[in-house]
Amino acid sequence: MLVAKVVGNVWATRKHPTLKGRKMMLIKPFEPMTGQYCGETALAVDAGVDAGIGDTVLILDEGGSARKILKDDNAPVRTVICGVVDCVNSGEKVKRYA
Amino acid sequence: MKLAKVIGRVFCSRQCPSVDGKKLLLIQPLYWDDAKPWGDPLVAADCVGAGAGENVFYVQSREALHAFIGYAGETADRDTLPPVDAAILGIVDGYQTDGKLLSGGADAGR
Repeated sequence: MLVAKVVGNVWATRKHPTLKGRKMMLIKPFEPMTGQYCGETALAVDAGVDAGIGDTVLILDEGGSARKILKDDNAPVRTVICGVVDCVNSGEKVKRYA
Repeated sequence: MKLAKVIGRVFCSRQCPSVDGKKLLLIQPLYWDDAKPWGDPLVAADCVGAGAGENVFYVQSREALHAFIGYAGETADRDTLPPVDAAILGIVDGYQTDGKLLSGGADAGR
């Protein structure tokens, strides 16, 4: 799982039927304590947490678990947004995002 | 899921029977941030009817197979699953990232 920032969204009329009605967001992974981006922007499907642009979110990047979360055994999806991060603790430091 | 531009089409006269009827497209992966090319082109199976020059999003590996389970796409038969490791899942109409608005049409990514 990754901590990432929602940087945008994608709209598509013609898409695979399992993606109908789902929000597709662009996410960019970052280091939660330093805020440095670490990785490429990817398209993630919102699993019902209703994340918006600018939110810090929890990303799941594994197909089997993604299908379980979306409750669709055949969803061709690997990356899902499965949470909105409120705060991260590491050592003595606390980083709040909410 | 990653962004790519359709740059061509692949035809095979002799191929695995389960690939029959699937449209195979040559795609160039792009960065979402600036729609600049990323890595090398690859061949992906299409399930939405994408065409040349369009920006699409695709999945790789196991998830590509799942795109054809229970959904045959435009042209395929439903019984056999094709041996594919990349599948085009949708045609990008447009997207925004970092406040910039990018179009997904045939003129995007230039």
